[in-house]
Amino acid sequence: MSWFAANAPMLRTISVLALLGYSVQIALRAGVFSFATVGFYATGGYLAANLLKGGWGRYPTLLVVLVAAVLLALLLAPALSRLRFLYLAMATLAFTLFVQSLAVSWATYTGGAQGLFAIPRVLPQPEMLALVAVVIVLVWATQRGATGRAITALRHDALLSASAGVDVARRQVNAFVGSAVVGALAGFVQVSTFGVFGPADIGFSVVVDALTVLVVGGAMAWPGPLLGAVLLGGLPAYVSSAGDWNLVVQAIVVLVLVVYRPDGLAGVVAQAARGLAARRTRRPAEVSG
Amino acid sequence: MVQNIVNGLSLGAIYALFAFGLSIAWAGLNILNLAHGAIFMVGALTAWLLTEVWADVPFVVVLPAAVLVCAVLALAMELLVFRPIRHRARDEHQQTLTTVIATVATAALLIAVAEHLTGGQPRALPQSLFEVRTFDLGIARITDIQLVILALAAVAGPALAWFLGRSLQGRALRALAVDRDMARLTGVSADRLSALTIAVTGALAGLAGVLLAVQINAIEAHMGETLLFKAFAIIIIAGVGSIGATVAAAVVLALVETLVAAYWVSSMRDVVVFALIMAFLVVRPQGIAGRGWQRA
Repeated sequence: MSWFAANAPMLRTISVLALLGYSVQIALRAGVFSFATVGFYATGGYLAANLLKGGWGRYPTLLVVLVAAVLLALLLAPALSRLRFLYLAMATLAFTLFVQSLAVSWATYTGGAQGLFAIPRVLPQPEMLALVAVVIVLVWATQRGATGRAITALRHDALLSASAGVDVARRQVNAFVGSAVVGALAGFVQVSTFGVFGPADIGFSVVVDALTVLVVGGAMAWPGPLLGAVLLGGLPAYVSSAGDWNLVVQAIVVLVLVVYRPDGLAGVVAQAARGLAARRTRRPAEVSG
Repeated sequence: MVQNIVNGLSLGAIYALFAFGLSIAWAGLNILNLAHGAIFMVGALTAWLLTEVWADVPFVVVLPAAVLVCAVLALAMELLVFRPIRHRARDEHQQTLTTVIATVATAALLIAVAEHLTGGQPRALPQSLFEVRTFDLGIARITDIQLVILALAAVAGPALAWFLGRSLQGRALRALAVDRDMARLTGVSADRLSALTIAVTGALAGLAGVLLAVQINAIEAHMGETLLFKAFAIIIIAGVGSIGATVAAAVVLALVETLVAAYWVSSMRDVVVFALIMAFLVVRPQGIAGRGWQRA
């Protein structure tokens, strides 16, 4: 138990990063490239911060934050549902940039440029880890069976999968709402474990962090975001830190990975596993062919 | 009122210069370059480095130098990022997704380096770089930097429209956008054309960066993000790839912002811009120019 206590800040960082990564992945698997994750993270975080500061308990707060995320996502969905891939990416990033701008200008609610301080840190570590575990199990569950196959099919060919009976529009809206809920949950976890929330916590660097987690871990496989979050959040504690140049190193790693290894580390591991399996089963006669 | 229109027009000219590059790269090459704002920031940063930090270079040299730096930077992105992705991608969908993520990483890289150079502080250009003079036209006042901005936009807009509509390279780019394989069969080199197009978009971002830096005189690492938001609104209103519609949308957006700030509350500007974005997405998602020549 002492390891958990000693590494509490690192585990908090990993949890938030993993949730952000899953939020992007849930949408992306359904062919929805959404930057709105950070916008939902921000709105969820500010809402949670204000409720907690108002004396609310952690579960009523969590419930309100998640319901609000669903409503906001359903409000945005009609405008987004007709958009093609790049348009969708742009419109969802516009939403996130708008929320960031609002966070600075709507000072009475958000604390303006300084942000909000002294938010009650009400979420105990075991419950935080349990929340992350629930999300991972749910993501894993939607990636297998009929649901998983339908989602994979519509990502590869929306038209063809629609003709095979997949309700593409409904699945994509569901994925967008799911992504919003997990994004808002990340905001709640951040606020209720760190106790501070401001423009610096929702800026462009969070967009980069979420994509880093996704790219490092592998964009499509369910363990990907967890793997990415552990590496991004955990490595600096053990490896001698690059200090101020952390962000530069992080950006270069992402660039090299997306250009040369689009499957991420999960892809590297899967490929190595396939290679080992192939070597074991291969017969000399087959190798010559 | 007339004064607000003059200010809105010069702001709109900067918006248009910035949005051109984003729109052309998207329409022609299917690249949503989210590092466009960072390249714009590098243009402003170059002006600051050339005048305040390293030497005291005059404005007539600073402007082309910063434009050149940004063109070279964009070219480097094409050679180091876009081209390898294009050559390695399994399919077009994967190429599009990978490219967008790579541009976010490039933006993060440029912003992180800029944070180091500026020390995380907003920086100002020296007063001597551009002596701002004001001309009184009777009904409104206009500064000489505003005149320079309007003149450059008045040259760049028609030049771009000619390039895309009439020149051989522009026709080839449109062919590439409609059908990449077919264009290749007729002898269009995707690599050469991408390099040229991306360099032009970088130059435009750099131009907008220097002009805005002189106009507002505050240079900081994150200055591109605000402009990216405005450019998204312009592209959603205008549609992708049309120079004329982009100019119209940029001017309308800048006028709306200026008038909201003048007659209402300035902090409501972005709320109004986002409301415009959502309204257009619901009512006319293809923008005022329609689909035009970009890929379906």
